[in-house]
Amino acid sequence: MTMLKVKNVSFGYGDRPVLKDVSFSIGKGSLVALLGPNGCGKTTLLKTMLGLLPLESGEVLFENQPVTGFDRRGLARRIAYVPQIHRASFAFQVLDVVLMGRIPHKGYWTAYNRTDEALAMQALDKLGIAHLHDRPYTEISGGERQMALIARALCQGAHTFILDEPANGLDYGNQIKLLEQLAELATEGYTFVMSTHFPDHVLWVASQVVMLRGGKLVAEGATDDVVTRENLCHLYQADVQVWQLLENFKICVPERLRSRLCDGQRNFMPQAVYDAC
Amino acid sequence: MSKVLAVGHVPETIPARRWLPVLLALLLLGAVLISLSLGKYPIAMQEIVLFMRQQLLGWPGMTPERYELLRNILWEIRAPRVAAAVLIGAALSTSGAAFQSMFINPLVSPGLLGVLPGASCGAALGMLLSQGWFGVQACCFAGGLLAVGIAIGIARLYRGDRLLMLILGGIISGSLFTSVLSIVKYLADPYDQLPAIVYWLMGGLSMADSTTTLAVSIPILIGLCGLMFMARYLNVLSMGDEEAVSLGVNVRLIRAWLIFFATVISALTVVVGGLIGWVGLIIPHIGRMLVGPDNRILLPVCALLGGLYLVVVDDVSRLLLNVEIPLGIITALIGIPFFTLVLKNAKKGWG
Repeated sequence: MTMLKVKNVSFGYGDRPVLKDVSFSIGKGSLVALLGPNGCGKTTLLKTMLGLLPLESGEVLFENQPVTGFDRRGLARRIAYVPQIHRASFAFQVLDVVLMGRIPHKGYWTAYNRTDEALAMQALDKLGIAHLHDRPYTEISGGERQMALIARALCQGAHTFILDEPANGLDYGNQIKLLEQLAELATEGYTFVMSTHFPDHVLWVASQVVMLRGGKLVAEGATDDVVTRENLCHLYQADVQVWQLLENFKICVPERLRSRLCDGQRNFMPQAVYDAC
Repeated sequence: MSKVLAVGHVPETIPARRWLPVLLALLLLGAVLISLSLGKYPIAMQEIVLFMRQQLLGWPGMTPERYELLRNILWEIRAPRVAAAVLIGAALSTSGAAFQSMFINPLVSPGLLGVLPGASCGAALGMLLSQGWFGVQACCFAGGLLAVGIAIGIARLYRGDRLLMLILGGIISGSLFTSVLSIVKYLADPYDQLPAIVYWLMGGLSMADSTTTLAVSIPILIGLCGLMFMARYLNVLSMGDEEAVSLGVNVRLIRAWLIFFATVISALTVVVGGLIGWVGLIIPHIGRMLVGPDNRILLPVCALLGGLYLVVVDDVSRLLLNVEIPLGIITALIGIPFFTLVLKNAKKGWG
């Protein structure tokens, strides 16, 4: 089932075109990675998918209706946005931040009640950070903050999450934790679109990939078909090989690293690496 | 992962959040009663209670002559002044806290969009044109609204970060009205009008009569309630515009209402008490130290704290010396060192 459909979207800030005729569609329960070099329009594309920017042409369809046709509250109950690492100015308690996810469910005059707080706690618990509920949001780690924002998105009741470089600035352990968490939620039927700078992350967890360069779609489709040497070379202007190590596992190896690795060390290599070399 | 917390278990909130507002309300009530009894003509607390009973409930408890005297001192002179202090303190602190959240910057004050220079300039212009007392107050209020209107208009001219443009608009508009104020001062009659303008700018409550206080109290209370009702939205706005929009909040509408309420009540404080600085900057800091940044609790606490603070400072201003010390001078003398101290901590959560 198609959740989100981006149809011939073009957008520009002033005279500067940022997105040029981008099209792809996303099925329910898929984890879509958006890859591209710095400044290629990843964040802009994510924002257009949230209906935050006025399009020049084309349209973004959510559940077959244009996103611009939803009222903001209705849309917020369906799509959640997890922004890039936060500039947190005020030391809200983690629970208060997650509670903000209930705002599209409340009228102007109704306060949060016990149910809302219970839902917020449930979301925190689902992500394994319930014990942080009373800690100041400014004092928890980047990884925990990212988890708290995902908890808020769950609390929003949304089933489609748009994440802007969620792994950015996280340490290696937290990157793994985050990706596993997203993959697990995707099996439960949640849909994710995330931008990232790590092709390896994409190979670990993403089911679908969208590649963007200079605002234009380079390639789009299932991870296995799209994350290839040709596409990565074109995308990053750097020679990167993709090694098939196991039947269902690949890794990216920069060509310079490969040439160093493969010079005269063949005797020590596992068979898979040997074949790849 | 803690399993101590069962799924769906709702944790207790910080204890301070619950009893602090009650404690502050009691302190405020106590401060108001004490302030009523203090003055050139001290009145015992029992008499105040008796008088209030007679005045409010119609239950006679003293001789008619004594009642007339007390009515004059308490009801006509002291009560409006104390009430004005509470209202102004609450209005400045609450709008300051709201602006700090809205502009995602713990170092801004309610005058950010130029309402205070605008209102001062309006008042000075009113005095220059020798309007009656009411005319001066009307000019003052209009000046405050006009200044903020100009700031918003300037912000509208340019694309880009809305908050930054508003701040720049406020700086331009504030400077404009400060310059006009200088012109007005230059043109004012140095024997009569100029001292009145200067005195106004120092801030003080000696002009707070019952008519004015009563007239401003209703819009100030409405404005305070308006800001407090939007506390939840303020929390979301303090996470940034795009996040707020993605949470389904109509940012432009909410921000417009917040600016409107904060501007109206800030302008009204100038109408009653002239320029009283620093309250709107330091009280929200103290409030945040006590109950954290959640505006749902922070705004009521700021209102109570601000009221309490200004009642006490006003007592000092009228009782410390034989002559009255302008209120704005005292709040600045307290505020500046305090602000210097909190600046160190404020910067931490800012970058």
